[in-house]
Parts: sequence; C-alpha cells; structure tokens
Amino acid sequence: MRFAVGVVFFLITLVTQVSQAGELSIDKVKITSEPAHTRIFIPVPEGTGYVAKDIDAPPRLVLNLFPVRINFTCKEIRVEDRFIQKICLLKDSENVVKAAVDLNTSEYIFDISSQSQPSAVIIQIRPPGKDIIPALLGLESIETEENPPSFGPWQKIPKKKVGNYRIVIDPGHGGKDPGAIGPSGTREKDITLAIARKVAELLNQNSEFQVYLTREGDEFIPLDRRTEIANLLGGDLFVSIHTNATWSSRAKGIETFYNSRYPYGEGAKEVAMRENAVFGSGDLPSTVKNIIWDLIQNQYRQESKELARIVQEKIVRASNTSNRGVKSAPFYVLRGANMPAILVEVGFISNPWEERKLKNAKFQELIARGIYQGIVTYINSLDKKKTENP
Amino acid sequence: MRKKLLIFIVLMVGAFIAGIVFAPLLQEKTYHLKEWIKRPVSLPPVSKVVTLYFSTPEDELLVPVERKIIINDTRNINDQIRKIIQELIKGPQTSSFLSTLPPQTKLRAVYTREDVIYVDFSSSLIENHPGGTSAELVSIYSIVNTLLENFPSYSRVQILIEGKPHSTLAGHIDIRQPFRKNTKIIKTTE
Repeated sequence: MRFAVGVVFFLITLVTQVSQAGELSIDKVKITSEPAHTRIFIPVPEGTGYVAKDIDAPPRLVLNLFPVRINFTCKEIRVEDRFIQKICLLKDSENVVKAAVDLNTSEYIFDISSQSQPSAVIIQIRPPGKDIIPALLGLESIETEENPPSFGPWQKIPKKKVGNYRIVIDPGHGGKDPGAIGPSGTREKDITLAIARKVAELLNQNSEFQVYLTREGDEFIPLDRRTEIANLLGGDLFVSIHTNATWSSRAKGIETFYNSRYPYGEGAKEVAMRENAVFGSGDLPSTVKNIIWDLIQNQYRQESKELARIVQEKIVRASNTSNRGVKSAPFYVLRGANMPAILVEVGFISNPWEERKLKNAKFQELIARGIYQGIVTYINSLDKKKTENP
Repeated sequence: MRKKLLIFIVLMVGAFIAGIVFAPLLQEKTYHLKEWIKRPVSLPPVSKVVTLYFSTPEDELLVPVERKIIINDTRNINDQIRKIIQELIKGPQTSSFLSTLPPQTKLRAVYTREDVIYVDFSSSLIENHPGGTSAELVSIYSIVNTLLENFPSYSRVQILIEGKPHSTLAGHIDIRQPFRKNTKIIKTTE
C-alpha cells in the first residue's frame, strides 16, 4: 500500500525585526512534511556556507551557518513531524548561527544542499531504506508492505557488496551552456553527451553496474547540481566528460583531471589546517564552504588519482591519441563529490583536426570504450582488494 | 634742485608702476612655492621591466616574457598592477607565444588587502572566453603568476567578476577563492 498520507505543510515564520544590511537574514524557516521525506528550508543570504554534524544521543543534527547573523540569541520552533521535534536557531558567535534540529529518531538519512535564487540551505531528512533513490530525488517513496523499509542510521548503511556499483556519468555543459565551440561550429555539449551515452550503454551491458547520467538530453544543469545528483544517488564513481579548448589551434591530446584545491598537489596541508578553523573559530572567511567541499573530495584523493591514471591510460590506448597525462586542478564540478571523481578531457575541440575526429561516431566509440575499460579495470582492482582483505 | 626733484618724482612713479606690475608675480611665486611644499614630491615617470606570462602554442604552459612599462607613480602599487594587467590583455608581441586573456577583457578595479591582490574584471572576460579547461588554467595562472612574480610581497590573487567572486570562467576551474603561484604550469627550459 502506498504511504497514503496527504501532504502536510507546516509553515513556521520566525518573527524577527527588519534586518539591517549584512545582519540577520534567517527570517523564514519552512518545514514541509511529505511521505518520502521532511524538508527544512532555511533562507540565507547569498554566499552563506554551512558545516553539518550529526549527534547520536540525543539524535540531533547541527548546522553551523556562516557568515550570517541573527539579532536574537536563541529561538526555537516546535514541530509535529515523524522526524523532527524542534529546531533551534542560536547565535554561536559573531558571524556563526547554529541551527540545531532535534529528532525523534536516530534512524534517518539526511542530505543538505544549498540553492541560490532564493538563496537557501535545504535539509532533507528521510527514512533509511533500500530504495532510497526516489526519496532522494524528491519523488514519492515507493514503500510496500511486502517490501518494508529497513532502517539504520546513515553511517551504518550496509557497505555495498562486491560487484554492485553505482556509476555517475556527467556529460559536460548542456542547454544554454554549449561549452567550447570548435572552429567549424561543433558544440562541446553535443560531443560530451554522445560519448557519455556510449559509455553508459557499454556499462549497462554489465549487470553489476547501475549507471546514471546527470543529464539525459540537451539540458542545462548547474555545476553544483551535478555533484549533488551524484551524492544523492549514492554514487561510487563520478566521471565527468568534457572536450578541451584553448586559444591555440595546435594544442592536442587527451588529459584526465582529479580535484585539488591548489593545483598539482600544493596546499593540501593548508586546507587541513583550516579545517580546525571551521569548527572552532567564529571568525570564518566567507568561502569556508569551498574548503569543506574540497575536504569531502579530498577523502577520495588517492582513489580519484588512481581512477584518473587508469582511465587516462585506457583512453589513450583505445583511441591512439596523444597523451597529455593525469593532472589535478580545482574543478568546480568535482568538489564536493562524495566519491572518487574525475574529469576527462577527451580532446581539443579548438583544434580543427581533433574537432573533426570528435564529431566522428567511430572515434566517439573508441573514447567511450577507453573510459569504459578504465572504469571496469578500476572496479576490478577494488574488488580484488576487497576479496583479499574482506 | 628742480631737476633733482623731477628725478625723484620719476623714480617714485617708476617704483609705483613697477610695484603694480610685479607685485602679482611675486604673490604668485609665493603661492606656487606653498603649493609645492604642500604636495608630496612627485617623481618623474619611470620605466620598469616587468615579467608577463604568456602561453606556448602546443603544451599550454606559461613562459615568462619581459616588457618595459612606464610607471607614473612608483609608490602606487594598485596603479602598477592595473598597468601590468593591461599589458597582459594586450598579449605577446611575438607570434611564438599566445595570449592568455581575450583582447576584449576589461579590468574594472584593483585592490590589495593583506597578502591578497584582488583583480576585478568586467563580465567581458567571461563573455569572450573561448572555454575549455586548458584555456581557463592558462588565463587564471597567467594573471596569478604574473602578479605574484612582480609583487613578491603578496602571496595570493583573487579574481573577481563585476566586483564579486565568481564560480568559474567557463564551467571548469573554481575561481571562488584566491590562487597561489603555480610553478608547475611554467615551462622550464631544459
């Protein structure tokens, strides 16, 4: 039976004074209870970052928002919801506001995302369960009596068994963003989609893989959203496909990137040092959020590097194209990916010769095969490690 | 006796006229002197050799190129930064190197604070950018490396678009935070 409860809205408005410039901006927190999830919508000023932490006893979700101010010390909203008891907003320090969400249960999964226009931080809390994808994507959950949801805190989601991988393929650009345009008018967004589809097709032949594309057609997906989709899907690998471009028509070849804050490995220490500042100090830079994003991807730095190495090797071999090597740079689309993530530049669309090749379906097939082989080789190496030390 | 009186009168009249004629000049001179004292010593424009980073056509690396620029005020760092960026926008003078920024790029403002140089471009930089990871890296690091090379007392460069931090130039490299000098992207002569 479908979870046939009507949608109940709780609209809670924190009555606050008209804010002065740069001051209080959390003036309207909205809580929506839906069958699939409960959603907390916190409007924040543009550029507000957050750090989230979950506490077990009592079950609580704590969000530090910064840089933002409130002109009261503490206010709370009591809620009737299956997950949430109350939400407290309190002044943590000069520019930091703590949002504490007290929960009824420790059996939940949460996702936090931010959006702009209107700028807001959104917390989604939902029951843990097998079929989490519809809930994650904001669709109604499909809960049946035959298949009751299994519960467990988000950290305790059973580790995926060997041979069950979610692979997220991200065709670069799309919609209003054509990407780079070649000398004869080839649009990057068309090439990346064509190759991504071919990669997905190859991966789909293997039943161990669940393959997702961040866009299925010619649509515009913001960079933040691409990583978010991958995280919400619980992806195991994120592969973004792009074509390169530059001023020179002579630049040629394939290169694969993984993320780094300071390109080519510099500054990792600095990021780690600043991590403490995130949780301790009240004097936070407005860009702290970016560092957090880096830290998320940083956990997978070695894996990402290894994946990049293997994929690069396989594409170069499959397509017989010049090798520009594996590099690292701070990529907007890779930051925040909670999984090994790489960006493949499959050739220079700005080079007339390479542009012609990239348009060719047979060449696209070769590239796709290289990416596919890279992914499979990487996963096999993981499976091997797992069977060696289970 | 009358002759002496006449000479005396003529001298008096002469002195009177001279007084009327030269007094303003004297006054003006004092005025100029005062102005001169009040104003800080303005040095004549000097020429300075600066290092600009342009890119190589094949491997998308940066190469240092020296260029002489005229500086009006050596103590005004922001003005020097502006001049250097404008030279970077003009591009290389030889065909063996390539531009790193679209020629239409407009610089709005320059700020310096603590160890960071802020360079604020108009959206022209984004609108005319060819796109592509390589082109973005070359644009970013030609700005960053050029400024940090010429102003070693600063350690980071933040690129702003229309006065605000921006996500990317063309969808790849994150430019929301200041960058440090990147020596790996500089072509080394072997």
